[in-house]
Amino acid sequence: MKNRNNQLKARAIIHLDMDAFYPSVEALDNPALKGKPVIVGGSRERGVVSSASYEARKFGVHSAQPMATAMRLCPQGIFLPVRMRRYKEVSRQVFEIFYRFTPLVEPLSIDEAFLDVTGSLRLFGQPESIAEKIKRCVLEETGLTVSAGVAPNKFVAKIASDMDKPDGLTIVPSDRVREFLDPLPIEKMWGVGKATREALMRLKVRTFKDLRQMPVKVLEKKFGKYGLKMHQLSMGIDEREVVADHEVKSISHEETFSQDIQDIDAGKKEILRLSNKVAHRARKMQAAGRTITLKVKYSDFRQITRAETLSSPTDDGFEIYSTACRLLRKTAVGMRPVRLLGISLSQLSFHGKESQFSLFDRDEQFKKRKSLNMALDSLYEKHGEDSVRPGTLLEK
Amino acid sequence: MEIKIDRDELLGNVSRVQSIIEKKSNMPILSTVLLTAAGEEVTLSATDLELGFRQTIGADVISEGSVTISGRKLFEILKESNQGVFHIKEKENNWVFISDNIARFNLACLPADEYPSFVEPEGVAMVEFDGNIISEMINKTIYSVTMEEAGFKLSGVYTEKVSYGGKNFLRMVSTDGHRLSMIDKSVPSLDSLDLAKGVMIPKKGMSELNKLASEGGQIQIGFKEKNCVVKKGGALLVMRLLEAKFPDYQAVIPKEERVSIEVKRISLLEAMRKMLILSNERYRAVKIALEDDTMELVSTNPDLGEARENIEVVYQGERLETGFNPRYFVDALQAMESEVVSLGFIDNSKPCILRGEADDGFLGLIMPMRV
Repeated sequence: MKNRNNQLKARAIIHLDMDAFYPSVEALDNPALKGKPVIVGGSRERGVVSSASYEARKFGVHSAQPMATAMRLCPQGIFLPVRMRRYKEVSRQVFEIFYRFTPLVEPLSIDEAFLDVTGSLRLFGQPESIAEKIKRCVLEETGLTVSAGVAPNKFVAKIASDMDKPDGLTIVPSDRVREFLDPLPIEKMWGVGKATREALMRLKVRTFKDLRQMPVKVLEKKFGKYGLKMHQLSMGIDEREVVADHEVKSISHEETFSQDIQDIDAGKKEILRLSNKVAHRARKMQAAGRTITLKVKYSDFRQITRAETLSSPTDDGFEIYSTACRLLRKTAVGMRPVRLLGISLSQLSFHGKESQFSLFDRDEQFKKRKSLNMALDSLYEKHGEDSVRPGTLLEK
Repeated sequence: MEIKIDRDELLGNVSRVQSIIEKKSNMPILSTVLLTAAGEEVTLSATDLELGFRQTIGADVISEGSVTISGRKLFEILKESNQGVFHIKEKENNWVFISDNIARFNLACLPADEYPSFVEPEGVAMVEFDGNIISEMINKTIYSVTMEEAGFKLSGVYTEKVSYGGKNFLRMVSTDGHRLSMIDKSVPSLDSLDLAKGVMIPKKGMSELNKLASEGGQIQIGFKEKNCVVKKGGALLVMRLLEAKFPDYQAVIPKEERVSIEVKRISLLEAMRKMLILSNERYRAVKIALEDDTMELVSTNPDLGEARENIEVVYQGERLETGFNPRYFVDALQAMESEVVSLGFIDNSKPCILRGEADDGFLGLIMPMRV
């Protein structure tokens, strides 16, 4: 029903994307960095670029690129580590501004969100003036710039926000959607990677217009369901709603190592550390999960995941760790060099403060671990996550 | 193979095996039923490899032999017809012709010799039971079998022989770790049942057994090695027992209760159902408070609001307050039959004990929640 109502009257969706967020925060805290090629990322040997300033991008630096490559491309760059706590703090400020204009805010990441302002028009004026107000507030209150795209749906809004970066504002009214999309190259479409692009090239599809004019049957035959989806998107049809307060589906932590992990014991140590982190976060959220997934990326970048589902949800680091160790046997860790390990907990249930007593004995041990975890959590709160760790994780 | 068979009788039996045949299996043959014609009978078989069911039905056998037919499709074909007699005929290359004299179906089927037919264990000592009693025992225990697929250790009803007070009883117990239900029934002829140790009967098998038992009349049950065999009329049910060890349930049954109150079953059931309205994943507890001849139920959900209901009871002791999952009460009270049930409490970390006069031999335990 909701969908239909939305169809009846045009929606006003704004996509907001902070410009080079991490480097911009760094420049905010250290004005000497302003206008310089700033690259925020992991370690020089093994890490990847998290975010690069526009000055650095001119050298061909982009996110997810290995840091080593970035250093080669931009030797004069200023390389900085990720200060997530600080970015989160700024992000909170920015999101608070978003929420002033509508409760329908769907965060996509720390620096990006969709807003549905259809219901806010009477209060705040036309969508473009809302977008302008948000941009002004963000700049005045945080000193950062944000690019905005205003359109009748999420898909077009997201493309629009990217058109005029940085500090951009692109408005696509519902009667101009086709005109806006038609000339765009097909790579702009969500989900179109290298393989799809090449397949489309073979069909002589280079722009949204080419795609729109393809017979749907051909696309469906070639790409299946995704072909239909692409065709819809090429016409600017996207009915996805802005989902506020995104339900958390999983809790995960991963780590790219500065040196490949060669032996299984070192791998287990990392897994213990990651498991404890995931468990701590789960407890903080009053959540527990049944499915534990181990992610392994080998030095050749080939990545595998292995998962196991427990009979009852857990928020205990040791239980996550033991499960992950069983999963480890289904991988080549210890036999092949490993570049990254990750642990995730999914199939979450949120129990609040309630807890169900059990009839059987699992409890004795279970209760002990529970009170241990509670004690750990209060230490983490006071002294930080590295204040207490299992003996195996003590540095020599 | 060629037969003419009564539509109603075949439909009844094909319908009852829908719960046995596999809907999604990597062995397509497990989604079929096997029809074997011999003499003046047709035998219908269905299996999921853990459990096998066979039923003989009188029929006009024109030529003997076997066919497999998709269990689901055969069910739908029979259901949509209003004719009295069906004609089923095997054709070349595993095609099967099915007609009610109006519609004609030609179905591509799987070869019958690939059907994994199960063998009936030999030399099983079969013992007669009253179907109604067996059905009552199953109804009062099956609801607390664990729902989680991965909790396979408890995914059955533990069945054993016990004796006390100079009498022998058949006992069924089930638990999901948070609650437990147990029922003892004194049944004649129990002595001859070959059940030296307790066995775990899988939940799916128990519900199939219940279907046969609830038809009433006598039912024959026997155990041999890893199997449970059930016979009734022309029906045969063979199920593989679970090898899991059942926990030491006797140790968790409280020896005595500190407070015991009586309450009308329907009133408590209806109240608990209302409490469920405000429960969700995150907040599911209902608080039960006893004080001053009142049992107060309160369910609080910060996302939704609050619900309360008071029930009159006889209680003058000090205030007692415990949290529970109302779902567990609903399940137990629904299975019980007594007009008035008794609830026993010890403290807020020990189980609540449920009994009822008309629920002879039954005991329910529900563990509290910390709220």
